[in-house]
Amino acid sequence: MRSLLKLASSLTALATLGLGAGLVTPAMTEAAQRPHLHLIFYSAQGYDAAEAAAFQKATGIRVHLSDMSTGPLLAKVSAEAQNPKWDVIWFDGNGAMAALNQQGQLLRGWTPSTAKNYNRLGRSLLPKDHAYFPTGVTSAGALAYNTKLVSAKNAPRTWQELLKPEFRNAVGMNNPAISGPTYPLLAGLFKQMGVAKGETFFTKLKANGLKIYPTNGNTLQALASGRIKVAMFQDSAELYAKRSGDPVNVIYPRGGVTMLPSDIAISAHAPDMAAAKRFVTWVLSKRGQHVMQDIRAAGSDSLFQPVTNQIKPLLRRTGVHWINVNPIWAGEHETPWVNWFTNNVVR
Amino acid sequence: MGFRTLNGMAAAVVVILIALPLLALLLQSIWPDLFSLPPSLRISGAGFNALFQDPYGIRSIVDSAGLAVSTAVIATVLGGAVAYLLEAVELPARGFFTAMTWLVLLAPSFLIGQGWQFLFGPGGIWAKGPLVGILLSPVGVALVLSLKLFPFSTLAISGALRGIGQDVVHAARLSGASLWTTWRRILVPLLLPAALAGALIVLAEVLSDFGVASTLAQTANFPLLTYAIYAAMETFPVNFSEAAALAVILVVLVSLAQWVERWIMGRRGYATRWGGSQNLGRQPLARPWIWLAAISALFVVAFVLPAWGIVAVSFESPGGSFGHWTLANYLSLWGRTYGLDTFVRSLGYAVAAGGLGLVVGIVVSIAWWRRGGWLIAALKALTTTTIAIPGIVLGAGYIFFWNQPILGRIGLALYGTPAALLLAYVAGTLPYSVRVASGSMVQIPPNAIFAARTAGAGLTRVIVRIFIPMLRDTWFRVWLISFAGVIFELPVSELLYPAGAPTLAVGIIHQIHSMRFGTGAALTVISTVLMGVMVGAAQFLQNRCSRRDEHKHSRTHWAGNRMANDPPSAPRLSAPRKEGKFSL
Amino acid sequence: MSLEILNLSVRYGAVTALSGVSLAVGSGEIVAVLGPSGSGKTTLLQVLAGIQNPSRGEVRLEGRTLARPGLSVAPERRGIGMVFQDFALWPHMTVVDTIRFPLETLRTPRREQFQRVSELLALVHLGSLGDRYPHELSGGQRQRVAIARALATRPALILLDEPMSSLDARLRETMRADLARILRQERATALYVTHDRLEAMAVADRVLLLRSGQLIQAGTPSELYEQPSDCFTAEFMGPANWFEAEVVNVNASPGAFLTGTVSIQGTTLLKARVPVGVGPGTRGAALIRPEHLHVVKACPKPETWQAHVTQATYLGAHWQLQAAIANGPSVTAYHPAAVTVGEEIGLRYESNTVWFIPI
Repeated sequence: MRSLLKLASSLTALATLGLGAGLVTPAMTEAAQRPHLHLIFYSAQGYDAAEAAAFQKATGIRVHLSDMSTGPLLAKVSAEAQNPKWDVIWFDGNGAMAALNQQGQLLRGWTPSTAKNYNRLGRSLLPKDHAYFPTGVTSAGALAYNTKLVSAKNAPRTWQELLKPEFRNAVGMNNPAISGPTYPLLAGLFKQMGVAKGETFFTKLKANGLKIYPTNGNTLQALASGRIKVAMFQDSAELYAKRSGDPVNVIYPRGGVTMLPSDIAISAHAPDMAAAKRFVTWVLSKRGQHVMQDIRAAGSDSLFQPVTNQIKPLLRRTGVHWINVNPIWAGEHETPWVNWFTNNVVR
Repeated sequence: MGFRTLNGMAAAVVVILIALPLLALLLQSIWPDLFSLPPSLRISGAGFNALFQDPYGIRSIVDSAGLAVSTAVIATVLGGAVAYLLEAVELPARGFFTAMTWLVLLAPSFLIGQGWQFLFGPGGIWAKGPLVGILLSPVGVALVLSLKLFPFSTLAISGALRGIGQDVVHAARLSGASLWTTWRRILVPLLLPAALAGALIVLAEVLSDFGVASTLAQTANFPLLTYAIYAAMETFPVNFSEAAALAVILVVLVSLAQWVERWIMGRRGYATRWGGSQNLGRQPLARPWIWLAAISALFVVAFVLPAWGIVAVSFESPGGSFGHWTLANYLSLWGRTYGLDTFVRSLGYAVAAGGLGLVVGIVVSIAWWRRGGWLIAALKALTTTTIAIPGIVLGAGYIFFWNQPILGRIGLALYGTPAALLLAYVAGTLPYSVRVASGSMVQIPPNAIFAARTAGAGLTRVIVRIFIPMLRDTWFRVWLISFAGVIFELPVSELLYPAGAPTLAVGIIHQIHSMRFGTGAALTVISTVLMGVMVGAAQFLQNRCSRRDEHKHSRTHWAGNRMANDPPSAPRLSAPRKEGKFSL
Repeated sequence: MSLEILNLSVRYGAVTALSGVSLAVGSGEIVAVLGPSGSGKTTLLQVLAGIQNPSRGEVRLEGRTLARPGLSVAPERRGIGMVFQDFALWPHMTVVDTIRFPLETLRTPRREQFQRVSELLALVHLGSLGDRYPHELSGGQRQRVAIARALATRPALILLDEPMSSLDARLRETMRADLARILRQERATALYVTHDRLEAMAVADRVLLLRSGQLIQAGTPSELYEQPSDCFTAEFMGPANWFEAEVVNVNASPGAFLTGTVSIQGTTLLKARVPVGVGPGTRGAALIRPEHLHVVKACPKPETWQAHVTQATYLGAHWQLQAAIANGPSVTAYHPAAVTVGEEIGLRYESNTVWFIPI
């Protein structure tokens, strides 16, 4: 063991020398020496790069963005738990935010001045301790149908109509074990129908030939190409397809759709707390809100339902009955429910 | 510097680069709270328990093992056939097909995967054909992986074919064996170790693959081990202990495969080259056009079709109708983040990681070429079994280890810096490069080293003057594979890239997630082409060097089973490379 | 005749590797093919093995034509065994598997296979090593395996391609005798290619000397050593001392050569053997092997040259010395006792051992 330690320390010295000699770029050394001049920003949003650029331009604060999928983002944040490196995180789904808050990873009790811009929807989603801030809302799952295969008259208006024989082998959705926004859809339906009836619904749907695809993209392609007639997945992706000219129309079923808030939060141990606070304030400002709607940069993510009174939605959602699922309640059931779904529906 | 120092350095490198970061994650399978807030040494079986309760847990292990074995078999058959055509017979346009083999090997796997999706996926050109059913099934997954990975087998078996001397064949023929018997009884067994080595690499690649596991395999409802690891890490709260338990099982699977390989090899010695200094000749091919068509078809399916899929998407106008060609996707790559800047950045990482990885690989394999103590043996075992560690496991291990607050206090807070990503890249390629480099090391006769040392050469000189020139070709190939692997690396990059400085794969994924498929495809195409040009240039330079030294290295017998004072065997020189009519 | 080679030529493009070689080998005879690098000896072996095709001529084994231009019997149908230079053992086969392989391909009954294998193992003294792999054997043991494999099916002809070249010097000496024993015990007809005259002489009944693809001389080892047809052969077969010579007279004598008198350096007259057909007045070279020059330290007698020692080397069994003969060439000689450089000595020659080569 002693020799091992000796080896380790000699390599450490070697590594330091080697790295010091050539591997460390100037930017990195700078970052290591003056960690409090930059915003370290982890995000899984389509508009994050545009937002970071606009903020940097407006304030002069350098933003270092790590853009990745929600999964790796959460894995990264969790692995850093002992020594967080990030200032701000931003992703869809308040379940993980609530859990991070429970672990004490988020800054509580601070409120940005721009929080006064929140509309009613926004205020309803703001947690009491102000540990994270909603920035927009999409639906975890609305219905979309192929307009070439289904007439507007015959389009399903409720979840139960998906069980009709005419939609046999023609309904598709994402796998909640793979696709991020799909568990909230499941949890919302279970809340709406009750767990037992929810399970019955999905069992019947499977009996009616439900198709399971990995993620939004696959389900959308299946719908647009006519392999399925109806699909349920994140409504921003559905709306984006419609907007891009795919033969797709979106319906918000009468029973209601699960709300999927995008939330932004500051680390309780943010290396650059000041910059972090300025950034969150900026995002909720008028200019920040407009950047989120730059659809050329952000794609489907821009088609959210605003939570502030500063902007109007790019595409209007009509007849939406939002269902707000308690993230802590949903989080507690995630593993058993996803397992149930995998065992009984996916297979 | 002496051999002892070298051993120590090699051990330290492996400990720092691989052992400690991996242990930081793997230990959480038993100590789930090792890095929690507050940390604790509580032992718990919860990780393994979760694994057994996870509906994907056990099934994904069985699926992955089955897929890995069947892919290894298919890839070995395919790769062996290609190696035979390239090395043993007079196939026209051999050089072209050799280059194609390299192209398939170096092509980023998600280029292939994305291309297949485009062709056969929902909305694809053949989305309704009968092939879709096959493709979106375990068989299809195995076929797609085999088509991507067979070059590993081809390389291994080609090398072995080149290493077999003609005399072992002559000896068999003169013993009364027909051509068929000679293949069956002599050549196939002689190629077996190389075939096994190739198969093992394919197996490890399959076990650690995520690209196909997360796309095709999921669409086919065929859960795989790597996917289960990702799932465990991506549900929240993140279950690192289950992911660690799965990773432990992965390591066990690879160790098992290696053990089987060793068991098959038994105590047969394949170390030295056997059968004379003259290589096997190429046999004339009876109906070259049939074979030419077959091998062309293979490369069309393995590379041209999926690549065409990507290229087509890259010229599609964003959001526009199909069939309307545009350069907009390419133009949009200039001067913006998540565009060509990511390629330049990844190129830098790839050059650095390839070079550093090569140096580390050389040090480690030279140190291990000699017999070491128990520590070396243990590290050797660790390095070879970690050949199949998925990127996300390595990446998470790197965060746990390199983000330790204590490292920050001694100025080694590498996490979040380019250095951590670079080291992780090196760690990711090291098991492969050490394996290949150690394999090539046996070509060097011990006497060549002793001769240099008695001539007064120190270790550094021995490395520079003996090891490097003798094994340059092998190491160049190792560098090339590391280089290409790093350029398009995704999972490690995603977890470790310094904020604000995305790498190429992160950029491509960013474009695809933003539904800008065309831009993502354009970025893929342009980086692949640029990389291809660079690899081609490097290969060209390397070939020129090799050709210059050919008389020194390739043709001359230096495998060390002859004494130095032996006279050269003259008639072989008087009739250079004259191949007999029954040569193979 | 077991093996007949008729006027065999092999050309690769412009290079002639063999030209017009003829040879007949009797059953059970061991013939060494001797020659320096590039003499065509391996080409000859390759033609016999079926690795090379002849450009001209014919090869017959036990009356069957094996090769001539346009015809070549496949190697596996020739009934020839071969021992390769580096043995060409199969690394994945044990000793027993290796030796059994030719028997298997010949479809010998299984019991006979094992019987023959154990017989061969005993013959080559490898009795206890049957389950070893090649890499677990020493060089000498590998060679024995290669020999046993070549002998396994009792082929009509065994080819040995420099079989000693992979062995160290000491092993070579023991193997030489052992190989001769094994081949004789098996009554094998063998063609043994080597560049080492000692090997050729130790193993072979007859030696074939090749140079530049041509047959220079064929004969028993002693014929080549004692009555070489030219200076090249003489030098190749062993150390030689040369004197300018002219035949003075010749006596008819029964046998392969004549006896006569030659004058050396224009003065000394000595008795010599002269090739048939050489008459008085023929100029040439007189060959005296070093072992036939004796150092005498006391009073010089007739048949003795005065010489001056220029170099002396201790070789254990004797001293080898270089001496300059007064008004003559520098010569090599051996002496059992110490000689010092600069010493004046007498060199006595054995007159009947002198061999005359016309030039």
